Amino acid sequence: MDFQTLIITLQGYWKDQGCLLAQPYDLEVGAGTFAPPTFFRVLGPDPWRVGYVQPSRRPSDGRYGENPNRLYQHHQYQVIIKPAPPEIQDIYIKSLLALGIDPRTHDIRFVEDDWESPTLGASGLGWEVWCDGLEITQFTYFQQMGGFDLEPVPVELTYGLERIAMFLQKVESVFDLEWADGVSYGEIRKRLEYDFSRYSFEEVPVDGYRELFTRFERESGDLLRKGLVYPAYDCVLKCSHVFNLLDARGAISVSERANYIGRVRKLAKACAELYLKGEEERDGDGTA
Amino acid sequence: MAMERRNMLLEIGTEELPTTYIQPALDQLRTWGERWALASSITVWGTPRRLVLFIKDLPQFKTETVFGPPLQRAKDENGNWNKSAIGFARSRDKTVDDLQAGIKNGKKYLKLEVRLNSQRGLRDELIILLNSIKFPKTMRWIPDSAFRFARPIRWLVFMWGEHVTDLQVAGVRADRYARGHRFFGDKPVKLSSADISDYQRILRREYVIVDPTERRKKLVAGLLKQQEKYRPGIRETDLDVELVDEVGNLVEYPRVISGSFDESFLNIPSPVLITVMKTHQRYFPVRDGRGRLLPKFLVVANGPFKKTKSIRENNERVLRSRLADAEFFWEEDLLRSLEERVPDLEGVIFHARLGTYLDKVRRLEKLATFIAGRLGLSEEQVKNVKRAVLLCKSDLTTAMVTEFTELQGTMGMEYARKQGEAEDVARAIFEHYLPRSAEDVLPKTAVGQVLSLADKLDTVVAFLGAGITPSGSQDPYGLRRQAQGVIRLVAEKQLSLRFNVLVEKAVTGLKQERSSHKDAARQVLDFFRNRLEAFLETRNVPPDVVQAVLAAGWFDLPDVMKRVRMLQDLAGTTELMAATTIVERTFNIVHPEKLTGREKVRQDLLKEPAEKRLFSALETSTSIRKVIEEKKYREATKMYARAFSGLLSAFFEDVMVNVEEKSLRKNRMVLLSLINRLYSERVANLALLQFKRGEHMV
Repeated sequence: MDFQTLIITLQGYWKDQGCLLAQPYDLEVGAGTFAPPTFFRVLGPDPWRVGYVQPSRRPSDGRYGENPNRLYQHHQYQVIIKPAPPEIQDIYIKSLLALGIDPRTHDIRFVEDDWESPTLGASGLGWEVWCDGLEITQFTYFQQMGGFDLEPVPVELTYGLERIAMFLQKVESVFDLEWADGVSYGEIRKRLEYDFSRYSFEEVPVDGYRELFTRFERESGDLLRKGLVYPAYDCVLKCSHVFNLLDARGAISVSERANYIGRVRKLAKACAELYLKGEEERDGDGTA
Repeated sequence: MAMERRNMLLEIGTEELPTTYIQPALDQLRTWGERWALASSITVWGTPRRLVLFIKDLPQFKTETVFGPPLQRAKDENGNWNKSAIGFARSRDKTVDDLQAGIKNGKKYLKLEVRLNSQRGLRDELIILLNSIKFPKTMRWIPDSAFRFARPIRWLVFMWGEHVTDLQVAGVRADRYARGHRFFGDKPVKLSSADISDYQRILRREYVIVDPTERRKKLVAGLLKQQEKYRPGIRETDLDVELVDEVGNLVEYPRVISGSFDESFLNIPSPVLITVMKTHQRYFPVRDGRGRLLPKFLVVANGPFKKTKSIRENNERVLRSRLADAEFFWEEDLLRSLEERVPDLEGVIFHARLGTYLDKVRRLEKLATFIAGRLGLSEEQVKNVKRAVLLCKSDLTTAMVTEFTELQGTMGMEYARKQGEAEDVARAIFEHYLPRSAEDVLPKTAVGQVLSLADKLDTVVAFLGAGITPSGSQDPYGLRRQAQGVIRLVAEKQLSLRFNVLVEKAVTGLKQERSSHKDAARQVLDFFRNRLEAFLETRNVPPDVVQAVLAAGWFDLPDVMKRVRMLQDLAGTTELMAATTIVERTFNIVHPEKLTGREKVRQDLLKEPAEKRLFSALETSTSIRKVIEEKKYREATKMYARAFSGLLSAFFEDVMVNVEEKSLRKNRMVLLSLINRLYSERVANLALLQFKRGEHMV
């Protein structure tokens, strides 16, 4: 199964499960969790089902396209279902069957892995799902987001698309993956991996980016005061990515680290709070 | 009426529980069950997906005493039962004729003998139990409910004899269907009654081995069979117990599959290979008869797989990519020596309030050199101590340790060897983390011992001085463990180091570096004394012996151990009895607060022959002092008993201590206190021993 068919299959499967198919978010994020269809929509009482591909940038994981397993940017398939259905594990297993992974011929295991994102003020309990020893999905019952306890509890499924594709295609290097018939992953992505690795590790202008962080931080605060929650949150994502770049560049000392993360978290929490407030007002208007 | 008895079966079906949660949860189920039945009729079993409690032959009813209002408030002025008495009886479906008087906490109350329906009572309590089983972490998952558990509960089986008992917890209603293996089990199987062997048999057929002991046996058999050809005669004791236990709780139906990896990876140090296989993949490494690692591994799959080729190949591919990473780290890390990495430690935080590892290394240099001096290490060894201190934390900056943190120290040793450091230095880098637990081995080399002591002392002093102290079960930095490590090391290796000196030196080092640091010497000493008491208790030294010995000084641990041993050796002997009597009698009569401890006996005030003789015995007790000085405590005790036993008895026969005349009284007290202190301040304060006199007198 080539890379794009893998994506289409998951899209089809989750569409049939009643998920809205969202498009990848158009800002740099480290994971699908950061995208608004997850960050905002897991908050509050409204039911929500969504699936989307999220290109995820992790500057410190860049390896100049030389490491067969590590990427500056990989792809996740992200599913959120709120409230988490009681039979969610079975529903998930069936998605593997749809990919041709039969749990009677492959060893599927749910291995304890509790998840936490200090940047988003988020945490959850769940597992890494292993398939023949390979971690293919992160399966998490969210408990908190933006510092708020979540009610009802959503489930997040994050498929590591490259890993699953490598598993299905039995290749040892991500760059040997078949993206589509006759087109390799390397052809599409390798140069980009090299360029962005060099950029992250060698070229990111440290002073300018430090300043950028502060500017986006300030802007986010301003926008929050104006009640513009989505643009305010975009600035949080910008801050987060700028921080990741500075970190990869080695420009952040250990003592500064916690401070930067704390600043992003503070804004993320404020966004969550403002979002919830807006939702309540909307509901209030509806019933008045 | 014949007592009807039924079996009870409870199965809590969950999503996959963390491996370490299962046994503690089963222990809690068992403890709970023991309130209803004898331990011998209780069975608890578990897998990652189920917790099972079975109780055999539970009586249908059980009689219990319930207490009501106090008896004196149960009748009106005419002696008739009042409202609260009637209400109490009625609340239990009884009449006032059933009321009795009973005693609770020494007071009289109304009581009733009530026949409880165990089935219902147990069910009600079960609901409470399920709400209160303790796990390290719990979660919510049910909409509009605060119910928490380790992972979602998805089904319940609750049977009482042939019947399902109505039980609803966590949004799930109990039924009578046994669920098999997640992938290999067929449809749920109906249970006709709460029969444990039926249940076990049905589950086995559905590819769940529910009894952990049986599952472990099957796992072990599989592991041994697969290794037999590489290591003939391999036995269960050769297996990694920790991993067997963990993997046994990761699967419901173990199937051992063997795989291999490229021989070239054997160039990576074996601790790295083992960590990758064991910690990260839960694979069992395979060794040959001589203990050498082979390019093989065993993976335990969950289910009765017929064809294992693709599972094996896929696992091999995963391991290959992990080992390729490790190989890359190993080669990359070797490009920079440990010494070159030292300045990088400025970027590695020891603790936000305690600076970096570079600061720590600088402190350790002084402390370790000091300890080495005290222990009289050779010039060569001192040189190695200094070198090892400098390099001991450098591996924290390597890619390998960043990726596999549990390899700290181990990698330092491997890199040091590769970079041509002295073997003593390399070993010390590894050993300075020892012991890592109460059961762990101690550092063997003198250099490693010095470094281990310095590192742990510094950590304890640093944290306590920064106001970070363990409390209750909270000890996130493992300070108790580290203090215990210091104690074990000094006691077992009989290092002649005094705690007060060590602590003072460590405190001074921290104060010099961090002006805000509290002088925590007092607190640190208390902390160590506390750990010492705990340590001696783990060595089965009775608490009163501990107190008696420590009261006579505890800074010198090997000496403490000697005195403890003496007391244990002499326990029950007439010598020790006599010595105890002397210490006790001289202790009881003297009120220490009235004496400064500097007084001398005034000879001119000695009147009676008995006190003169006692005094002259004290004057000539230099030989006892000498024997104590030489730490021959057995000998000292015997001499002490011999010297004073008779004379003291005679003294108390003939001499009054509490006489009117103040100067006389005081002089006698001084005399007695000097006799007391001669022993109790140097060997053990025997007055603190709690054995009953009679037990030792024949």
